[in-house]
Order: sequence, then C-alpha cells, then structure tokens
Amino acid sequence: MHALRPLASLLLGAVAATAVALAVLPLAPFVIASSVFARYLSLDFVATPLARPFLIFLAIGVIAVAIWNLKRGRAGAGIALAFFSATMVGVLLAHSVFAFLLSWESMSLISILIVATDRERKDVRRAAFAYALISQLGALSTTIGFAILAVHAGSGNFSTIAAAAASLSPAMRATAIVAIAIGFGSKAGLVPLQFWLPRAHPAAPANASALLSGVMLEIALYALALACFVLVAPAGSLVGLVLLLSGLAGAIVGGLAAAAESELKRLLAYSSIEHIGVMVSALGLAICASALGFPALATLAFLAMLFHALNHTALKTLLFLASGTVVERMHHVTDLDRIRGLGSDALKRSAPWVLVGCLAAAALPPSNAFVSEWLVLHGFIGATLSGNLELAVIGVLGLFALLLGGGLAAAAFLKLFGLAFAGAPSSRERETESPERFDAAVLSLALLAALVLALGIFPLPILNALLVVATGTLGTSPTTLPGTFTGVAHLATFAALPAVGAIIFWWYGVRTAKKNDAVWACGSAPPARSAYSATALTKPLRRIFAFALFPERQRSFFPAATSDFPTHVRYAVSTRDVTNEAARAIAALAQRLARRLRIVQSGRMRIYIAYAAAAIVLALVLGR
Amino acid sequence: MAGQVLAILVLAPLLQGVLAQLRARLRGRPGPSLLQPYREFSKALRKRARAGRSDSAVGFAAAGFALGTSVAILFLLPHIFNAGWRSAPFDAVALVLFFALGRAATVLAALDTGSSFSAMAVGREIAFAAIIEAPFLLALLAARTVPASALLAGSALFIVLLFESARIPVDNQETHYELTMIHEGMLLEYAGPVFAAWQYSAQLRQAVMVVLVGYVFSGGGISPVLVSILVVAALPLVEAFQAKMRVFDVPQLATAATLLAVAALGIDTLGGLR
Repeated sequence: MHALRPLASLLLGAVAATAVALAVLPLAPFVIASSVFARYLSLDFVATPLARPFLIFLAIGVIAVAIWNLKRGRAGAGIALAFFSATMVGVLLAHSVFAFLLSWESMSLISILIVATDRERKDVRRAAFAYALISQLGALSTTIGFAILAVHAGSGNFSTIAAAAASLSPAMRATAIVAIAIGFGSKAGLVPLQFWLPRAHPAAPANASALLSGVMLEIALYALALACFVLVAPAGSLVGLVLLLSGLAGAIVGGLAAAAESELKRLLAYSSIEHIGVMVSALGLAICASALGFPALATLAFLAMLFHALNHTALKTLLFLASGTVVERMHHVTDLDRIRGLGSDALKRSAPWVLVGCLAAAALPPSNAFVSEWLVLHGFIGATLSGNLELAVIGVLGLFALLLGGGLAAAAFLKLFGLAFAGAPSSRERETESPERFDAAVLSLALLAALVLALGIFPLPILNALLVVATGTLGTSPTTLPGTFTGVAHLATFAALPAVGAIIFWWYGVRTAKKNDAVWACGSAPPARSAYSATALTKPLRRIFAFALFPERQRSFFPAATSDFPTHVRYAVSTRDVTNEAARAIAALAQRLARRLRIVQSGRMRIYIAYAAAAIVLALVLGR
Repeated sequence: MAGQVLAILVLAPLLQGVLAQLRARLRGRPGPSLLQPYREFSKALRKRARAGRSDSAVGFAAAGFALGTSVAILFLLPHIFNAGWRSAPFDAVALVLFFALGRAATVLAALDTGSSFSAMAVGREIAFAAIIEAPFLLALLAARTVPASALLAGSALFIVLLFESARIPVDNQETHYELTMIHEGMLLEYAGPVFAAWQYSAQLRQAVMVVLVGYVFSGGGISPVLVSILVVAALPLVEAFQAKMRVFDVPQLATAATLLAVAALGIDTLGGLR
C-alpha cells in the first residue's frame, strides 16, 4: 500500500498539470469522429475561453488533494480520484454533445462509486443511491435538452448548435433550456434539487468530498453558464429570473441549514449549497441584465460569479481536507457537540489555516470570498440603481437574501471554529496521540490558505484576467474594470489594522499571561461534560427560524419510572430539512407510479418480443 | 479627516458616559460622572491583564484584532461620507462586513475561553447578528432622496444601533445576569487592559453607529451633527422607558428593522424609476 500513495498523488498531479497545460497553451481542436453517425456522434474537444479558467480552478483543487493524499486518506482512493478528475477535465474540454455526455456520465458514475466508498454503512449506501438517482434523472433531462438542440442544428458540435440556436422556435428553445438547466442544476445542488448534496458529499471520504464540493460544483456551474451564454444564447430574462430565485433560495436554505447543523462535514456541504446559491444568483443576474440591455451590469455579475467559483474552490477544498484530518485524528468523531480545542493539540498545525478557511467561508475580509461577495453584492446594488423596475426588484430581493444567507453562514463557521478548534481541549482530545506535526497534509492546507489570502489581498491580476473571459463570453465590448472596482484591492489595507492590533496584543499576552488563571464556573472546576455544545449554541437560531427548521427535542430519563431522580438523561434535538420532505414525497409518488407500471413487465418472452416489434413499427411509421 | 477620526477616538468613552448619565437622570438617580468610562479605563490599565484561557495568548490577539477592526471602521467612515454610500470600494458593504469581522473576533475570543456563560452569550450574538446584517446594509444603501425614505432608513438603523451597542430592549449593559447578557457575557473572562481594549472597541463602534444614524436620518437636509445629538438623547429615553425584551422576542425587532429598510430602499428605487 505504501507505493500506492505517491503513485496516486503523481497521477493526480499529472491530471492537474494536463489541465493547466490545456488552459494555458493554444491548442488546436481535437476531433474523433466515428464514420457512420459522424454528425451526432463525433467527439470534439477544445479548450474554449470559458473553460480555461475552470481548468485552472480544477488544477488548484486537484493539486491540493494530491499533496494532502501524500500523508492522509486511503492510499488507493487517490487513484480513483485521479480518474474522477480526468473525467472532469473531459467535461470542460468537450465541444460536442456526444463528447460532453460521455464525459459528464463518466464523471457522474465515478463520483457515485467514490461516494459509495464506505458502502458497509447504511447511510452511505442511501446517500449513494440518492445521488445515483438524481444523477441519472439529471442526465436524462440534459440528454433531452441536448437532443433538441442537436437535431435542430443538424450536428452535435457546440459551435454549430450555438450558431443555430437563434433560429429555434421559442417553445423548443424554452424546453431545451429548462431541460438542460434541470440536469446541470441537479448536479450543482440548486434548490429544490439539492436534497442529495448534503448526504452524498459528506458520505464520501474527505479528499473526495473536497473534489465533489470544491471542483465538481464549479464544473456544474460552468455547464450552466455554457448552456445559458454559449449554446442557447441569449437565454432570456425568464430563465435568468428562475436561476436567480433558485440561487437566492439556495443561499438562505444552505446558510440556515449550515447554521443549525452539528456534524462537521454536513455543515460544510450545506455551506456549499449556500455558496453555489451565491454563484447561481450572480449568473441569473447576469442573464437578466444581459437580456434587459445592461451589458456592464451583466459583465460585473458574470465576473463576480467566476471569481466566486475560484474562491469557493480554494476555501472549500481547504475545509473539506481539514475535515479529513479531523476524521483521522479524532477516530471518525466529527460531531461538533463532541470535539473541542483541536487547535491546541490534535490539529495544532492545521488550525490557523482552518481559521483562514472559516473566515473566507463567512466572506469576511481580507479573504478572497470577501472580495467576490463584495462584487456580487455590488452587482445587486447596480441592479437597484439601473432604473429598470424588474432589475430594481431583483436587486432589493437579492441584497436581502444574500445578506441573510451570508449572516447565517457566518454563524455556522464561527460555531465550527469556535467550538471545535478554539478553546482548551476536553479530556477526550488529550487522549489522542502526539500533537500534530507539520506534514504534507498541513502543507496542502497552508498552501490553500495562502491562496485564499493572496486572492483576497491582491485580487486585481486575477480579476482582470477573468474580466477578459467574462466580456468574451457575454459578447460585451472588452473593457477594463471601472476605477471604483479596482479600488477593491485597497480594502485589504484596512484589514492590515486588525492584523497589526492582533500582533501587538499577542506579543503583550505572551509576556503577561499567567499560568494559574482558571475560567469562572461558579466556583468549581468545569467538568468536560458541562462544556457548551454546538446544539446548545445554535438554540437561539433554531428558535428564531423554527418556522423553517421544525426543531424537535426528545428527552428520555433513565430509569424511566423515576423521572424525578434519573441517573441518566438522554437529550436529542433534531431539525427537519423541508426540501428533504418534498424530495421524499416525489420519490414516494414515483414508486407508486412504478408499481402501477409493473403490469407491463409480465416476464413472458412473447410479450417482450411484441413490444419490440411494436417499437420498430412505430419508429418506421414516425420516421417515414 | 484625521481630525474627525481623532475626535471619535478621544470622545467615544465620553459618549458612553453621557448616555449613562442621561439614563440615570431619567430614572431619577444622580448617575455616574461623565468621565467615569475614562476612570474605568485608567483603572483597568493598572490591573493585570487576563484573557480567558491561561495557556495561550489567543484571547489577547483577538482583543487587539477587534480594536484594530474598530479603528479600521473609523477610517472607512470619512471615505464613505466623501464619496457616497454606494461608490465602491469604501462603501456601505465594506463597512457592514468590517463590523462583522469585529464581531467574529469577539465571538471566537469568547468561545476560546471555554466558559459556558460566554458560549451562551455567543449563541445569542451570532443568531442576532445573522438577522440584523440585512437591515443594516439595506438601510445604509437607501439613497434617502425623499424625506420618507430617510425617515424609514433612519428608523431601521436606529434599531440596528440598539443591537450593535448592546442596549435595552435587546441587551442590558448594566447587569451580569446570564438571562439577559449578550455583549457583557462574551467578555466575562477578560480583565485588565485586555478588557479595556474590548470595551474601547465596542465604544468606538457605538460612536460610529450614532454618527451613521444621525447622518442617515438627516437625509442630507438637516445638519447631521444636530440629528446625531438627538439620537444620543433618544437612546437613554428608550432605555429608561422600555423594558428589556425577552430574548426570543428580540427577532421581531430585527424583522421590523428589515421591513423598514426594505421600504426605504423600495421608495428610493421606485423614485429613481420616474
């Protein structure tokens, strides 16, 4: 097994290097055409300007996972991840329907297998099943949409489709875009198709979760942008509005669920829903603004979306990899009610980088997500100022939803770091082996944290590069960032003041702190059991948002007969995810229908031959 | 600009003293001296510093960080007044997110102590922060082109001020009673110069908030300074004649602020269409 580790990392590194090379080098399109059905079944690959930044984002996530994998995670798993990453590169390069669907389906299948890694656990099996179900439904929907476009264009090539899309009838156009958006949106975890995400992403091993959340979501976002701005451009303001509302709902639902969640990896998955919501709302704003004739606003929103995608890759890969370190160091305990003070012992070296990641996930300065969130908010402010009624309403709504979602996400990540990492470790953590040393896993976190801060403090070079992509994709005239926006770089200088204050006080604290100060706990030494739990910490939030979270608590006393003097009390709090219930209702309906349809499956060979004959006759009649 | 910043740096504790004095007078008590906050600082600075957990300097660093955030907000303020609320980059969005950064430092420092009292306060703080952030920014963004908009935005911001400065009916600065406390609860484990740093940064934020409320209320018509003075007079009135709200009734206040802010922004936006 030892040789596997470097090999897996090498493979991942090779995929990342290929992605970077494809993104940077000017390469000719690559076509494999089969002779018979060449029109529809040709495999075209090319690195389009829109795909190039996403190739770089992918490489960042993959490199981080490769380094982390040198020390932690199952050695063999890295090889599967390398294949997974390769299929994602395929999706980004695909330039024909067949090539795209082939890569997309390979990506889905491999990721389903990766999610099912710990398939001996029932929750993992169920998560993998839910993911498989939504993937297949999504792929079906995408195929329908692509089929409409390809048949109309008479070719599977994306350039031809894009050229022919303008002459599509409005009804077909709407059907195609809706079908495609459902397919890609389900993969991106768009509300209301997100129910599988908070189950499947945490079920996978951490390095896989990092790629699922940190890279694959961005691939789905790329696919959405590709559909709306390249294949079926212009997408129309109604599509934009639907995406925007879905994104805003995602920002609130994801933030709320993350704030109420007490399991580390599920919290991160919910936060992914929040972040993808921010990105998709920016995409929707870009579509609306573009359709209503505000190219500058559309460019700003699209730029904000691209930058937020990069930032989310960096911060979510960082946090999910850190969760993997927690899983290994804490022997699979990832319940925030039970882990304490990782920063002073078990994850001593990783903690500072996790703090950077948490601040970024909460969009606080001077992190990269602060800059992109700031840009997204300015997109919506611009919408309120546009003078167009529809955009103005969108703007006010968007500002409200994004701030509420962002505030809730901030609560979630302050809870995460404050309880699990800050503070003194409880006795449980003291039992773990030696304090963490600096190793490859810590190095990968440190590199990602450095990237998060670098992008936050010096965002301009990247923003200018992404601006070229945005103007190219939207077909707006190439511009430079307005002067006011280049000033965003100066905001980081304001963040230098807190940093200076922290350093001065740190130095002062190291000199004056005394060893014998104990925390006040009503005069007695606080037992570890009395430590405040994550569940208790979020009680106010559960009360305030009871109308959406449906909190329920169960108290059981042992022995039950003498509840006045129990020796043992069990206290459990649960919240419900409304969208889960909706999904369950749909699944139940599908199962009922399937049971009805079972009549046709008689099991007799003659009947099946009759079906086949009927199908052939029908095809001949219709195809005439 | 430097003069204004310096003035707030020096006078922020005096504002706290004035508010305490006015509140006491309204309740029929003589009240503390106006200079009491300065005396408290000079005493705290002579004490030994104590910052929660004894085996690390994290609490100290967090206090310095929060103080730095407050000063950063002070430096943002003149830029905003000169260039306008929505002119990037020194704008309302940055201001709100810097307030959030200072809060993050306070929350993490409180949780770092491991004290359950502090954690209880943190739970309330993060919940209220999550619901007050939206009205805060929306109220600042309202352009206040018409008096109605200024009035609505100013009222929303006044409620935000009650949250940010930890006053009745949201919080109570005068007690250390675990059922009411939010801001004080988080700082329970801090003493000496570090505690002074926390309190000073909170007073700076309070002063900034008062200036903001005054500015927004004035709507560019009346003198903002005059309105700020009125706000200072109104705060003790609220504190003296209002009872502390139940913790779980406080969100209604935030809802009211959100509605006011959305209405203000809506009036502006619709006005801009014509």
